[in-house]
Amino acid sequence: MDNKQVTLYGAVFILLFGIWFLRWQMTKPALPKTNAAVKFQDTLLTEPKIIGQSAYFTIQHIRIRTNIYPTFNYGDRLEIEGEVKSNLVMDFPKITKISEEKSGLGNNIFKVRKYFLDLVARSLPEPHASLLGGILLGKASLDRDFEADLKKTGTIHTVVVSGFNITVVAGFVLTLAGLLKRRFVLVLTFLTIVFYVLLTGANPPAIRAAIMGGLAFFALAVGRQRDSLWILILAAAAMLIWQPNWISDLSFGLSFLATLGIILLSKPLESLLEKTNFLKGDLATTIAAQSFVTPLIFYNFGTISLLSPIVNALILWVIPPITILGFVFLLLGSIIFPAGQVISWFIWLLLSYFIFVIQAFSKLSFTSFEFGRSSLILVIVYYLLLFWIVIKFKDK
Amino acid sequence: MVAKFLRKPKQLFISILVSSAALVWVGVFQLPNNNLTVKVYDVGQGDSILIKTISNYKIMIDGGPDNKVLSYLGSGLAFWDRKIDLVILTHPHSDHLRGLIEVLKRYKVDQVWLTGAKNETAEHQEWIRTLGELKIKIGYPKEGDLIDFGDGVIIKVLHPKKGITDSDLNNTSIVLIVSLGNFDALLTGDAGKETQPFGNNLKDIEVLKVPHHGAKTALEPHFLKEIHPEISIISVGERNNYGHPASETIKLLENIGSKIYRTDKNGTVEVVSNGRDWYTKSER
Repeated sequence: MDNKQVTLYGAVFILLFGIWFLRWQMTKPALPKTNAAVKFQDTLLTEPKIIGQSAYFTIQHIRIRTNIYPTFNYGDRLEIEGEVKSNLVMDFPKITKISEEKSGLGNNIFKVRKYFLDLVARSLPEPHASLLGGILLGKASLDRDFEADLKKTGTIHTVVVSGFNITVVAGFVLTLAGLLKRRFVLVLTFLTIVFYVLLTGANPPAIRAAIMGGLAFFALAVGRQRDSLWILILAAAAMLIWQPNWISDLSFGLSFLATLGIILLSKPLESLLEKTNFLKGDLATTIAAQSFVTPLIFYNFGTISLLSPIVNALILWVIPPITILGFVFLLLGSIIFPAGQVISWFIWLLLSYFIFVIQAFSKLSFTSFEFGRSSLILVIVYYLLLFWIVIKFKDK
Repeated sequence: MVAKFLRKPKQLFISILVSSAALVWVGVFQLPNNNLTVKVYDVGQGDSILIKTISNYKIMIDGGPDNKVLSYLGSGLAFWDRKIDLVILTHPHSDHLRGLIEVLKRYKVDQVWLTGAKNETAEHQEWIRTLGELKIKIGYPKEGDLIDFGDGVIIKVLHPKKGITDSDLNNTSIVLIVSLGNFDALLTGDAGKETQPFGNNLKDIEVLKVPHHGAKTALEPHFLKEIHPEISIISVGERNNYGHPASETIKLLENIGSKIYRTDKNGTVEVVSNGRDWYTKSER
């Protein structure tokens, strides 16, 4: 990088940051009154997360804890009555379901998603079913112990929808290019990404991941790194200027960083891994995404595992086959249930390996320790080092 | 990687072959054994029990207070096995019911046994709705009913009597005795001492699932002396709000020399019998 480039990138960054900051100040949400009785109506736009005997969801910036039953779904119009505590939490408020959204795109998509999640649940035992639901569709609820194991081993990112799984899916379709006409394949890939987004609930995290992951994938396919970097930065900036508070959203950060990693590091890594011909492509993409995402995960979940790189190396290679077999399973299984069942056994085998590794390593609890929020400096140092490596790569 | 396989049929073929071989051998090791097993799962403060007969009929009694039971079924059944022959809800309290709702939705359940006792909770409404939606056959067992599985295992209903009503739902619990040869296990739901001795001819059993998580009024002392269980299993959650199990009940069991297993201390407790011999193993 020469001085001119540094000035250019710097100026653009400062400009975008300024606009974002301005928007952020302007759009600060009006938080609800705390320590007071409230009563309000709103539409539920997330999937409640079930932990133990309770279900949790956030509505109007308030985290609500309620019983598992009755169940509430995406699109339900709810009336909520209770007291908001000072930390914006409501425990077991009175919730009345006023109406279910009858039609509307969002609700229909949610039904397809629910159908697929049910299909997974009827075909695979636990914790396999939840894990597959998490990897494929970003399902919210996992078995509590298993989720703790994922966090402890630094692998929780595998069940968060990020640009990574979208790149896997799109990349798979694109490799059919040798067999079909190129233009047709590009259209097919685009449709696949759209379908995938719809499946993950078409909620903001999935759409953001698709925009960024889709860009990364087209960038890789077309092979012009500098353009793709600019497109990613501008896309992320546009989204942040539109919704400034996404900056603190974990999934937004994960999607952005995973995509950034793929753009910046996967090509050089691929040439480094030239000799291990067998896994080259996927491994390079995976490591590239992971090296950018890992510190953010540790920072957010508050624990750091020394063995995390080893665990990730052991499990990440099964994610692409699980994702692709998973899609085949969903499509085939919804037409011919027994055929889906047979495929689900092979997925079960891969998932069992995944679960075995996670559970074995999570028992070595001495290898993970609490990672205080104060360690922000460590995270910053890590990223500075990473960017230094990227620039070194480029200069070669 | 996966895409590359598609272009290299030989590699694809070999991976399918290798994973099929792995599946078959995993399947061999997961084949059910030829014993009767009764597993009392560690579901926290609640009850959930799985019985497997010699010819692999599966009976699930209660589902615990949350969906933890799904993980137990996941590791307890072979990977291809999605069938449960009979689900029994002893009584409709949520610490026995809640986990069963997802069991109904995920497994192919042939028949469900209930008492007809009602509970005005959201769980119970969802349970009734799900039973209707899936069109599952429902049976209402009463004292004296029995199932002979044809493989030596017999399940006999000891409680409730026909048309029982009790203001205390616990005492409407379905109580069962599971027998194979000389081996008897008494499974009591939450039916307390008011309901004992369940007829008059119970003697010298091997296993007692202690009623109502070992509550103060769980056991009638004379009845306990008569049945004289060699081991007693208490299904109870750590640091629960009810003070279960009560020290009085523990003392009663200790006095007759019954070996006590507690799911909060021992984890899941499994009893295995072939009709002559039997043994117990626990997680911890």
